[in-house]
Amino acid sequence: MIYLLLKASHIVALTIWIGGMLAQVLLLRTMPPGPGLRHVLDAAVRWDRRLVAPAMLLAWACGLALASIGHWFPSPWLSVKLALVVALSALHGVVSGSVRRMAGGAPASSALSRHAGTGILAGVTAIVLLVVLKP
Amino acid sequence: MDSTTGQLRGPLRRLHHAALAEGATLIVLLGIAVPLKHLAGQPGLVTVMGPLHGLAFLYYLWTISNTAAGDDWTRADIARMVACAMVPFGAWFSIRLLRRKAAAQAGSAPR
Repeated sequence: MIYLLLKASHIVALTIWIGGMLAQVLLLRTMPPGPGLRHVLDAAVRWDRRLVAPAMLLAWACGLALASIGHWFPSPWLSVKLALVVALSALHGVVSGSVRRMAGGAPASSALSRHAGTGILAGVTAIVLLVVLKP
Repeated sequence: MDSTTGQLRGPLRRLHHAALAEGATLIVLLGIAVPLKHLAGQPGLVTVMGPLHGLAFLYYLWTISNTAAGDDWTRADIARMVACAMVPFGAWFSIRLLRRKAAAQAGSAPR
């Protein structure tokens, strides 16, 4: 029962985390430079602090607990998955930091806003494949 | 010391807390849990501290990337902060770097 509750919490947290990241990337891509829509960026910064970042922490905690319960730490697929999670977490840090910077008036990095969405979707797809197939 | 020097606020303060948590869990893991496992045959603390340190390490990396992207850090500063996480008591050096950055920010802020 604890395992299933942890698994459900992990999936919910992951959904909120990835959805939040994609929304931030959309903001970086579509927001025009200038102070006109700054309140939207301020709201996105608050949203990240109160919902998206805590969801990421919950996804990590539940994921580590699931790996401990399942005794999967020696498995190669989990090592690859952990590396992808570290990369996704770093990407989230860069994206949310860029939104905060943009809220302060700086322009968004065009390379980041162009490629971050693809990186997130590729990372999540690889993670789900690894977890389901456990190769 | 100037009253503003070393005052950590916002993302720098969060990174300071993350560095402390990462450093403390690493010291407990390497200084207590691992010797207990290998010298006394008691792996219980490693089972708890391993994932806990993993969690603290992930949070530290996330906080570095968030602060670096938001405050436009150099690659050298990012590499120094990540390297500090790899060695016991490295948090002491990362906190010194954070205090220098806070002092520089306070010095460049409009008065």
